[in-house]
Amino acid sequence: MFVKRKKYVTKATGSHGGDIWRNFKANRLALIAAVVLVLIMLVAIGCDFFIDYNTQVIGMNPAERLQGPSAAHWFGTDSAGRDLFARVLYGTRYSLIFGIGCTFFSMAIGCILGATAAYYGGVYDSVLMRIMDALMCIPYMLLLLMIVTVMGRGLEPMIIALSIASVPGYTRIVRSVVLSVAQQDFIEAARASGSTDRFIVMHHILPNAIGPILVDAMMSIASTIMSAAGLSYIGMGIQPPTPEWGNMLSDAMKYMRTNPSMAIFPGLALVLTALCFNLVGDGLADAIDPRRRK
Amino acid sequence: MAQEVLLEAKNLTKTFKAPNGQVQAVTDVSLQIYKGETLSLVGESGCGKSTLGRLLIRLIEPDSGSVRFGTTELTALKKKELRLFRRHMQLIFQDPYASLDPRFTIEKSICEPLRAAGYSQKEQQEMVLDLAQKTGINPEHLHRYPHQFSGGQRQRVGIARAIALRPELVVCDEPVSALDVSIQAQTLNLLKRLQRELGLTYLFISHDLSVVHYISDRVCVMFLGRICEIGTTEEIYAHPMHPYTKFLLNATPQIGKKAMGKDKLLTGEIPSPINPPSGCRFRTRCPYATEKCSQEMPVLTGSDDHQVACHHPQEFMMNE
Repeated sequence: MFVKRKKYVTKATGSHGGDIWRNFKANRLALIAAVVLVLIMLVAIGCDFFIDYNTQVIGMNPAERLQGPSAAHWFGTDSAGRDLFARVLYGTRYSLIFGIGCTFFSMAIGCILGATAAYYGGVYDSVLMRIMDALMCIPYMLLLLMIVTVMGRGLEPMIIALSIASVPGYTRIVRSVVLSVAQQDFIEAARASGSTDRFIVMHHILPNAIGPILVDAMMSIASTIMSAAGLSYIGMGIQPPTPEWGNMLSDAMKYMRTNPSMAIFPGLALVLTALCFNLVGDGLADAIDPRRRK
Repeated sequence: MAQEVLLEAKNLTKTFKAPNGQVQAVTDVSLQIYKGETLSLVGESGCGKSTLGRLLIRLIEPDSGSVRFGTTELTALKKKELRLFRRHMQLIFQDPYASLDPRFTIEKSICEPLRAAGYSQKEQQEMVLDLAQKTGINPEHLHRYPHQFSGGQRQRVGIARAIALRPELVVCDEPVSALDVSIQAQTLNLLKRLQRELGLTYLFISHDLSVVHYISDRVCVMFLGRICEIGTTEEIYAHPMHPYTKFLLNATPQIGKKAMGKDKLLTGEIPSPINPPSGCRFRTRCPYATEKCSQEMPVLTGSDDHQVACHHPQEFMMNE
């Protein structure tokens, strides 16, 4: 049988990354969410260029306090007369730092702990996993409060608290994913084919394990952002006048009836960001797993 | 038949740790595989067939014993030498779903042994077309992923991967038991054709005695990690000498044959491999067992054509 090689060679050499991108693109909702996320990130990085922190974000202006949305103040003003639009945009920074930064840290630690536990097994595995189990017994919010209480309030203690609190979950996930991949027949097939350990880890175990881990990370960025806002809301996180969505909401509580825009806009920003991360995570889950492709 | 020995195993033993003791998966097994033949390994689930198959190509390290492949002492090879030696012996898996990486196109899967053996991209692309043709895979489908194929097609991919490096020995670990009966026949014929064309030697692991009858030159019957009986296919099927072999053959349903009476079928469970019976391991289920069977371990005796490990071997007539 003579077949022209060219017909399929382009697809055959297409990388797996390319496949994932093709499939991700096909999911309209996830793509829109991804675009919105990119915009949110650009705002977080670039807000200094068009907003002056000292005058617009934390500078008080009692004459203009508690205004509704207008041409001068798109989102209205808060109880100290600060422009809510500027504050909400600036708040993006904190939420993204918590969401992405803490997830990155806890992922890194969780990957190391989980993968080594899966690889070495034995006593190391059992002791480590029992410690993680013990940590997981403590409710998430309580653990956060404990760490923040010990370390004090502010940005750094919060980052550390949020990172530590999600390590046990990651360790567990990474361990189970690596274990389940390593036990598959195709790993043995690869060994039987004469592939090196390095090839097996880099081309079989890692690509098959990274998908679920990455998807989980995406989802947990959203919940970390929510937890960070929650901490600030109850006054254990970022303190006013620093613009953090959680403490802005807390501030808005007193004016809910008279000036609801104070609560609506930070709340919308919070929900939109979390939603986008979740949608992108979902889209990624579908795109990464060839079995879920349509 | 004076035949060249391709692989010789001596006193292989493998014990696995279990939560409540040690499982003797394979105990003191010695056997020879001749060049160009198909030797079948049959026995109940859990009798150590697959473990033995993997021990023979050293995918699992034996606790003791040795394997010689041609002139190479397999059990003495270092890790890297072993990896390079793998091109001489390959494995076909039972489950065509789990044995292919879902993230690899089937072309990439077939190329994996070629790549490991150091062939260039270009050589690989040419060889994979040839392999696809040999195993009946449509070359236009090479860029597809395993989940886009049926079980039979996937097994063809598994076979193509196994023969990619023109190995001398292919261990087929129940290669057709996960397939539909109609696909089984196709796959078996493919294996037979490849054996003819490439001069392959098969170690065929199976529990399906009709499949075994069809494909093998010799049959080796295992029970609880030990060989009970080994011999040419005709001998084993026509004159089984070990009671266990006879029970196995009786248990195979055949069209046109009345169902066997209860007394001719095996009863009871396989004894625990953690604590196997003393002496002959089959004695707890054997109607012919005597005092001697519980004290002395029977050893394989007989001619090259037919060996049996039993204190009371009898020549059963198949239609009695």
